[in-house]
Amino acid sequence: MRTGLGLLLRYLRIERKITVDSSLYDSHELVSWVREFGNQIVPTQNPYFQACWPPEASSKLENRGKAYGWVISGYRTLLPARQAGRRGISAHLWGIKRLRTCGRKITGWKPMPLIFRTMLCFACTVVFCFFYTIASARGQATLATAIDSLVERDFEPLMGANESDGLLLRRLSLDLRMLVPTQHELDEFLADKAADRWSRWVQRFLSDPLYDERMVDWLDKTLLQRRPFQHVDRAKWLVYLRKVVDDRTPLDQISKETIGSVWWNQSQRAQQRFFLERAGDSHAVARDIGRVFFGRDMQCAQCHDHPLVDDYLQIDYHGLLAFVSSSSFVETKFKDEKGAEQKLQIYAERAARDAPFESVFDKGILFRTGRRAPGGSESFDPFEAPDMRYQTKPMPESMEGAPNPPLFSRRSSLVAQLSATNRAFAENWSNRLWALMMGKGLVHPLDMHHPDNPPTNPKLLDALTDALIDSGFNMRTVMEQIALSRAYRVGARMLIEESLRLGSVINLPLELQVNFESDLSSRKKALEAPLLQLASSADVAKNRYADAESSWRSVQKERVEVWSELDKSEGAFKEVMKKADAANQAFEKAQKLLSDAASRQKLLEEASEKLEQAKLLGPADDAELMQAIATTKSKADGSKATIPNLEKALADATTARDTHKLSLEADRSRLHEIAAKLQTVEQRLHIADDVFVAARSNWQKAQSEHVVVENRMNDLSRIQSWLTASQSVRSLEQEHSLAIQSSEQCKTTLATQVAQTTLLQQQIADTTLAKSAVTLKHDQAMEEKKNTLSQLELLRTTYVSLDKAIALVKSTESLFAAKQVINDAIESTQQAYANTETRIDSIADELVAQAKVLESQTSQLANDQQTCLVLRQRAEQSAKSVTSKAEWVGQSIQVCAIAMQSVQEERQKSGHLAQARPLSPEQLCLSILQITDVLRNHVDAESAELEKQMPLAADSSTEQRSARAHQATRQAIDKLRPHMDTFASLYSSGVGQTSDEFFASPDQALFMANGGSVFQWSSVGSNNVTGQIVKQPDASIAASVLFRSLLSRDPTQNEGQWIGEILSQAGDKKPAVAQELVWSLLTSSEFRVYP
Amino acid sequence: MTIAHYACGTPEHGSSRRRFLRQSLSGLAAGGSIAGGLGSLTFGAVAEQLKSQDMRIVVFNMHGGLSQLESWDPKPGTKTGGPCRSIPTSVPGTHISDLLPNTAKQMHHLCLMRGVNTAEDDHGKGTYLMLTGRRQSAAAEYPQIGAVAARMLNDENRGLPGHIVVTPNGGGGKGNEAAYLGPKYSSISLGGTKPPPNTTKPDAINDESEARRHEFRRHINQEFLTRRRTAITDAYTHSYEQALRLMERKDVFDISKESVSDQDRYGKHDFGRQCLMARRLLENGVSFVQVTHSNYDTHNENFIFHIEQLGEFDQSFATFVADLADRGLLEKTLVVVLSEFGRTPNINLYYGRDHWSKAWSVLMAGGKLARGAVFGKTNDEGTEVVDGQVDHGALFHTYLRAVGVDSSQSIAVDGRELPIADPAAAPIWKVLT
Repeated sequence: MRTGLGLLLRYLRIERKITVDSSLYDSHELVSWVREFGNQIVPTQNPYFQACWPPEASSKLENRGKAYGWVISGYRTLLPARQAGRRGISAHLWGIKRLRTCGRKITGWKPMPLIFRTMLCFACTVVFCFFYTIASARGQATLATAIDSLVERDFEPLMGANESDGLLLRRLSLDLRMLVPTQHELDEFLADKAADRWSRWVQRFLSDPLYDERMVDWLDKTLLQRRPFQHVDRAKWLVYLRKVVDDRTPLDQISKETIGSVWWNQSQRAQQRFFLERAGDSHAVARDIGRVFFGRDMQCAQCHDHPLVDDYLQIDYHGLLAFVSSSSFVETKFKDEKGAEQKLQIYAERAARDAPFESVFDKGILFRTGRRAPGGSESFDPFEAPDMRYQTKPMPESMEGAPNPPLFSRRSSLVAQLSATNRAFAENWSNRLWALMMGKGLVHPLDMHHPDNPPTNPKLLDALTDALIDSGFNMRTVMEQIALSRAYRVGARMLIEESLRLGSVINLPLELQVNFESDLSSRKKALEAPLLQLASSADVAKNRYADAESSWRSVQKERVEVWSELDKSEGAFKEVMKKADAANQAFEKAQKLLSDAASRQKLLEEASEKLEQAKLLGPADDAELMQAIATTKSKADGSKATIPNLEKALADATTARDTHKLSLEADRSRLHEIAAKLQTVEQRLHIADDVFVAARSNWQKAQSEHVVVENRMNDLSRIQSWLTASQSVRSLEQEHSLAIQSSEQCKTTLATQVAQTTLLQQQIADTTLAKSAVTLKHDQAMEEKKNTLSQLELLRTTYVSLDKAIALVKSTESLFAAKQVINDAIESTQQAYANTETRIDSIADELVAQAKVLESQTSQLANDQQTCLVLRQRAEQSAKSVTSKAEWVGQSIQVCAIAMQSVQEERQKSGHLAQARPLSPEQLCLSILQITDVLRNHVDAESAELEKQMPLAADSSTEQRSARAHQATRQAIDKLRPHMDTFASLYSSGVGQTSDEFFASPDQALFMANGGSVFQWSSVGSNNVTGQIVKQPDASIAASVLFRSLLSRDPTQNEGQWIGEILSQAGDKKPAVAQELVWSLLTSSEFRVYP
Repeated sequence: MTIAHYACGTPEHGSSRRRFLRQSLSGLAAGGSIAGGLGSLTFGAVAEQLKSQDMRIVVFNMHGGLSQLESWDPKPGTKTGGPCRSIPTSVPGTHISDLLPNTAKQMHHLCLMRGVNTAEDDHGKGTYLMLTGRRQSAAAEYPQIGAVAARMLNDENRGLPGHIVVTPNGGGGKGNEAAYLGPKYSSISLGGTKPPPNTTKPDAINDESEARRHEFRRHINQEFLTRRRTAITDAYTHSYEQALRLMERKDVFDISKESVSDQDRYGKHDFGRQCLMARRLLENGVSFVQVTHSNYDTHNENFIFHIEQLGEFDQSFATFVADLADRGLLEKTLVVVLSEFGRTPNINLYYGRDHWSKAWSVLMAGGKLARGAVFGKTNDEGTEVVDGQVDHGALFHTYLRAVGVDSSQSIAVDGRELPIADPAAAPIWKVLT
């Protein structure tokens, strides 16, 4: 936009506005700069520049400008960039107003008629305003939406709903103000149903006094990394940072002030703190310039090319070191307010030479390098002979003992790199701002920008960086846009965490699952071809880079050779310089002696004349006077006699001086010759360097594109394998449940069979019993038969005996009767026998039948038992398979968990979205102070105090009131700072660490429980949360107050019930219980981490 | 023109180029943190194993620079020897200064290094290199032995801090010796009778209230953890339980609980109390204790000062070693007696000795060290090491090995692998069993 305006103005031939950067006070470089960059407006406000501006440079510049047909103005009254940033359009109007006055003043330029000029200016303004408004509206609209469109959505099917409103507000408040929202704010936010609610609340927090303190805190930690205040007062430092934040100083300006501020007086002592607290150690300073301003920690490339990062070369480190290698601590003196003499260390710069260095792996091969900022090209110092390297006049208000600054300041030359022209610089800041809001950088660690660790989303980083540059390095604009994006609001609320809670298995409805799968594989497929192509193009770029490097290195080598020649000649020159100095001193001495003698003679002669005159007036015989006249005369003659000798000595000294001067000049011109040679080599080196830098950046780009796509591919594969693992878990789970089913079935069948067998066994037992009864019966019948038979036998014998008896004894009558009886008995016995036989037969039949039944039953039992065995085996097998299936499921769940973890880890590394992170020590402290009302009480007290000192008028403007609120908040924060320091000492990673890593230790817990004032703060106050709970009769409302104030959410049903019970049972202990509840929420895990 | 000076002194230094190459081959593109992940896994396993072995370290820092000639390496009868004599010890053939009669009786437990050469005569830098095993540089900070011990050896379940510095009056604050290991492993400074800060519940809180508030805290955490649980929340919740355990065990820090006879045996002076405190802490399983005895910086009246100071030291230290040995603790405890440097063999005009780091002695004992051993030798006048020269790097490795820690391993910090001891140095294997 600015460039566009410049072009427009040039086209109209009205003015070519030049603003000169601090590094360019050296006149000949300035001219070359004008030639090169004249069309750019480089903002500056550097007293160093103003102090060092050589008057001849003004006219040179103007002449040069005229030669090119430009009207050059504005280099004395520079447009401060921060004004431009703050006033926006009005700054440009101001520019045009100036332009009119310029038009009148500059001679040699024909002004257009006034009316014409006015109209033209007006037209320009209208056109400009129109485009500017559109562009800025578009710019603002696009960054937030650009973020959303650029955040990759691999997880779309897994994304949960947005975070609940209260927790969102909590996050916003923590990010922008370092503390949690009050219950009042939360209620207001939740009641707010307007469509633009979010953007209004973002605005509201951005204009909160604590937003400024947040930025002060961030700048402090970013620049100084919690270093103690050894060289600069804390109060002074805070005043400086607060001014920076109040003035909305852009980040590039802050960086420039940090690096380019003056060191020789106390006016910019605070800005110097970056150097001073690093103990003026050039290596530490160079490392941290790389880390803080360019996002590159090149410490490991100090003694060799970086062992792990291909892109960090040793020569890069030394190129960066070159900016500060000639700076060191110098002790100076000054008088304090009481007039007492004080000593002070300053980080002063001296004239620099390119120091040689070597790799520890290739000892003996020396290198030298000019200055090179990361992402920039190499530049070389203008050559001056050793006696012409420093400013001749002391700097304004320079402290005693401070050396004069060198003519060419390397440190100031770094300032030019701290601007949009250096992409690495701009990317570093946009990445840091992203990390400030999101918890992690797109490039992470924040100080490891290199092609093998590319941004997880290069387009997003580009968009952010462009937006940062467009906004004029305005932190606030970029933070606001990030806060407005949907990505910020979705944040950590991804289902991935839900999955973690529920287990690691993705469980989607079938349709979604299929979509997700095909989406993943199509994405992967789409990447395959580009990946190959990128790999090969990275290879090609690497080869080109290697070629460029080798030719560049050969020119570097030439330069090193010329340098060593120059080194030698410089040594000789210094010798001659010493001699010339001595001769000069001798000459001055001789000159002084001569002039002393001459004036002595003159004075003596005059005196003798005066005495003669006195003699004429006085008594003639004044012997003493006569004597005096004689003495004076003789002295005058004596003096006169020495003069020729002295004259001769002077002549000798003059000759000697001139000879030495001549030889010095001869040496000087020799030096300049070599320097010219060096310059020729350097010009060639410039060309080679351009090629080298271009090839390098091509390779960097190609490599990082390749790595990005490769990472992306791996990422997708990881998600895929997570999905596959989830699927296999689920199919195994299915199998498992099938196995369980069949096992159950087997078990039932077995049970039935077993029952059946048992029944059969019972029957067999019955049958056996019946059979034995029948056998018994059979036996009895047989016995009976036997008895009957023997009876029959007896009867028959009796009958036969009777017959014989009858034959023998003729008394037949009774015998016959007896015989008849016996016969009857035989008959009946026979009958009985027959009956018994029949019965026996039937019993035998029965027995046979029974035996048969038994046999069949036994065989069936055997069968059944066999079946049972088989069934039992089957049941056992199926049970075994259930166990093994369960094991498989367990294993596959583990595999799945590992897959998920690797996705999770990669996601966390990628940092697209805010991740779960702990509060910083300052956030923790301020949040506790906020909740317990300690902060508000302090602010109120400070306001009252201010009001007492200087009452605000009733009709004072809103601005005045807000300024008063700012002031009161700041004073309150300063009063509470000891508490913040205690928290920092317990919860921070300590001095010099680049970020606060989370750790939990018992001494933190002991502090929260017993030490400090946390428990005491949470006691009942008139209007604090504890007091409100005690006063509140309704337990459910009290629970809601408690949770809203402390955790920015409503209690869950369980929690509500639980709190209700506790409070209703508390009785007269309610104040104590309420205090304990508040404390327990303050110390809960939920309070410790970001929502 | 001088060569640019290499002061980065980063932890990566000293590892060989081949190692660099191997590392870079093994997964540059994948990023350091994957390697870190594996490293931390293996490290975790090792650390667990160690913690179960229950090893400890105690360091006696003879502040100011103990004279080796009046203690471990006397040279009686030479022009540098001074007035003190040497006496035989419980190890035949080994003699030490007659200022240490009690310690001489414990010599069979000790392991004496007589060939130390650290080439650093500045107090601050000397202390730094002896406690970190590396030379100090502006651009990098290294953790002290105490922080490393706390990280590698301390069993957090005991509820006691792992890194304790005992001072005469008890500082109470936290030091900053842990560098990249993080403040968790920084020292807690303790006096004779005071427990660490904040271990006493304020009077305003009665027992009922104390129990209730922690109950509330647990309940709320329980609810939250079922919804969202991460390593962070787990660690945070756990730290409060650790704190409660520490409060329960705060008697550990009170030596008035030791018997009167023990208090007498150790001596009623500060150093005696500190030694007793050290014993008490070690017995309770604290992994690292440092005791400082001050001040040995005897530029004037070296001999008188040493007679006074070592008189105190000898009684308490000998009792300490004997107790450790009696109780079987010496097997599990490495004892180190070090200074920032030794003192000059030359006796100056004020009967003092100045700073001398070229040839001095360090005493070690316990752990896996050889007993009754003497390693290294200085020449007759004690001006140079003639055999078995060692430096701070080797000693640091040896301390770690003596408590069973593999000193060649690295710790993964923020995705970077940092060797716990200087990879350019190696342990003194000859004194390790």
